[in-house]
Amino acid sequence: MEISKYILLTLFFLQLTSIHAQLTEDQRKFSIENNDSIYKEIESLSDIGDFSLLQHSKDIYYDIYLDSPDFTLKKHGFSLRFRKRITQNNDISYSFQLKSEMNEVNSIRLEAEEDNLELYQFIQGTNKVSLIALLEPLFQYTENQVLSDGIQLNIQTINEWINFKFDAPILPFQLLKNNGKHNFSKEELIGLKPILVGRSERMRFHGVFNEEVNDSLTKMYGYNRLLENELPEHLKNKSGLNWIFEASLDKSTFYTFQNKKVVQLSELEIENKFNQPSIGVQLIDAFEKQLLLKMKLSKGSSSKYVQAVRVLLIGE
Amino acid sequence: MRNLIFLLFWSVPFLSFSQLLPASLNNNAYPIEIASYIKKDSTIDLDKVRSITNLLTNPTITSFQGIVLPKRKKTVTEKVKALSEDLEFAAFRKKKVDQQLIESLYTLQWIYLSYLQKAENDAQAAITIKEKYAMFTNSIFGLRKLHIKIPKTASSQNSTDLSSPFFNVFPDTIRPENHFDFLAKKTSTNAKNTSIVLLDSCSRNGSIPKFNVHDLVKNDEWIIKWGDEINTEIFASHMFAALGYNVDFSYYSKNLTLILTPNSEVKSAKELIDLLKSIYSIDISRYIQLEGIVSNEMVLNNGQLKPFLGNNFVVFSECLLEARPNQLKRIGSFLPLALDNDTRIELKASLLAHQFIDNWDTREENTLLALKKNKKTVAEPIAIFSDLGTCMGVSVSWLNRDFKAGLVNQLPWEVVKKRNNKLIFKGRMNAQIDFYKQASYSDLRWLAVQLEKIDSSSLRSIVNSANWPPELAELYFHKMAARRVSILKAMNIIDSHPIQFDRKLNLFKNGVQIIRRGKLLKRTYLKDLPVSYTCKKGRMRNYGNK
Repeated sequence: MEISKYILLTLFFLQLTSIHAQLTEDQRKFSIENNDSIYKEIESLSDIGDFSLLQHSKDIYYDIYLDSPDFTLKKHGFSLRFRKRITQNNDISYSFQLKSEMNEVNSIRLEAEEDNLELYQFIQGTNKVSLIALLEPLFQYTENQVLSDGIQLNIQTINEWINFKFDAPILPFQLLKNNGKHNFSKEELIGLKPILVGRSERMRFHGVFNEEVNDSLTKMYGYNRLLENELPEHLKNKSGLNWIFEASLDKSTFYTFQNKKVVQLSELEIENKFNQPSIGVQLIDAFEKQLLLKMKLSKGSSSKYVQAVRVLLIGE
Repeated sequence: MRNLIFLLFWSVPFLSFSQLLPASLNNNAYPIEIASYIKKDSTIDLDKVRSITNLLTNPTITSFQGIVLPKRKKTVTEKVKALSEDLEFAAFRKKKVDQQLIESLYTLQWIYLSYLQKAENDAQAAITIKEKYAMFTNSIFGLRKLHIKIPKTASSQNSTDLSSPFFNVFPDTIRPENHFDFLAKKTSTNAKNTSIVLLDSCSRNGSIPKFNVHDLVKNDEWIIKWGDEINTEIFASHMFAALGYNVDFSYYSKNLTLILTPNSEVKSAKELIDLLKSIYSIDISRYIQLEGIVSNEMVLNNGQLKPFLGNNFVVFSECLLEARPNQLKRIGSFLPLALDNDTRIELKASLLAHQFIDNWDTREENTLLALKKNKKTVAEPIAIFSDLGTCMGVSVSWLNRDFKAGLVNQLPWEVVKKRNNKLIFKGRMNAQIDFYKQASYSDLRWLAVQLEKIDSSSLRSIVNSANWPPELAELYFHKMAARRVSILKAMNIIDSHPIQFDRKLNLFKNGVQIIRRGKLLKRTYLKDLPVSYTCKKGRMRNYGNK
């Protein structure tokens, strides 16, 4: 990489971490090529070297990705999606998220989320309709892939909603217009509409090491000093477990609205949770080394959106 | 039936309807500050609304007109977005403004102006010479203005209920002394289990030493303070709550343990003392009872200390714990002079409450707009009287700007005198004199009726909440009873709960006289406490302990 490009990217992320400190996450991604066998192996994993993976939940995610007809968001390294999450307890929540692509400089990604979608309502024809009611049939498209007139009308109404709301106080729109990388104008995104929808099964794990079994890592790196109420429910009152990261194992299927193409993707994602991030990075390095020794995984940086678009050969 | 009444009481604790806009505004009227958001055709001007909703929610906007904007709080941005959505949808449909939209605009503008006030206040490093001069002249000459005319036909006993963001109307079943705990409970504030806190950062505003901390178990945020306001602030908050106002939740704490972590701004007791000395010129070492290192034994007794094994800790003999509950998010001033707030009876009447507790520091900065939220409700604005501690006998030295609160001998036995057709107030205030001058006799009488409800038992309980040494508490009880009577007499209010008091009170402890003829004596055992209750040397002179 040219030095000037490297400096520019570093400056960009320095800006991201100062202005958008609360809007970033420190992640690593691993693609699972030989889908089913490795997926099942990871699914059943409990220990990798000094680390343990404690499975704590299995959720279902539906994601509707938006872009303009010429994929301007993807070209500039962003993805924008409406997400529906169903937990194993059947709790349902919705969000609207903007994410930047991970790059080669570091693993920090911009993530901006609007999570109270119940607030929003709009007019379709002469009827008042909630944003969630507009989205639901699109999420359901993953079940039968029937592009009904109703879904097509909703895609059009969502486009109208976006055009009306582009200057409203909605975080993903605010960040699209000012993110330090490419500040989008309303004109660039005038045709923004749903293009992909995916369904993912996500298994989540707490990445820990057990200092009662092996205290050398605690002696070397110290304790993740979090308060009781900052710890995940499953780790409360378990004083021997030192929490380092969260891992999520995704098995996703994506569908396009414009044709009947389908793609399946699997990936493992790791997010640093150590209160001193630099120590967390060292510990995750150690985990990663042992993980890659044990399994045939490839380190990746592309989001599922970019991977899906690449495979489905849309917008290329 | 009894059970039904009980259920109704707990499910609808405030039986009165709370009115958001000042009572002076009705029939779709609105204050001048929100007129610019309404077009000539009575629809919403969305561009103008968005200019403030984006400023209040967009994290990439970090300054406004050269002033750095304060950190945005999630509860506030959530509320702004909810208000915004009402207005956006109305604008999309070209709906003409109605009472509900006016209330949304009013709340939005209140939050916006308060947020900007906080930004300006934060940007101002120190009190300007102009402000110092204003505080000086207000304190010296202000009282000449605080003469309230008594109308020829003064109304009789007045019992108007004014429930609003400024004032709570409690059911009679909740006694005045319990108002404070009732309001605290609504925000899940409880200091009883707060005995170990972790140090976050040093607060650099105000004039008394303070630190931001959070509770080890619940992670609730608190501020710990030391100095002459430890007792007075707690008393004042309880008294204002008893009268119906919203207040900060302040508690007296004994033997509080503070843990200093490697991430803390200071890492040892010495660094803590030195830092506070450098900022406030006050030595808090007299409050430190014990210091040490978190040991295995301590961890065995309290497993939650495990992550802090080997860290320094400090135990304070006493301090004030002021809550920053998650359900109550602070913005800036409640803006007494904006948005027609100055027409509110309950706000003008607060003059009487300030005078009753002899509060000196009545600046706008000591008022607070906050959003109150619990899990089930949308956040609503409430107006809080904050930082009420400069009261209960204040000495101000004009030679070196030194001042001190909680000097019982400085607290007069009377609040007000009636002379000819005027009420003449005796307490000094450093700000907002012109605003309070607008208070009418009937405004003040309205609050005096609330004051009459405070009986001997209520007053005793409120005085006890402050944790003064017992002899001092006794003297304060007698003085406040006398001050209450002076108000009721001046306004011809029949006292249905007379409280006995003795202006010539004498008190002894172990054969040594502590209080003689209603005056706290110097050279008593109280001189060994961290703050002297008789010496007038204040915060600039280490409370007489230098």
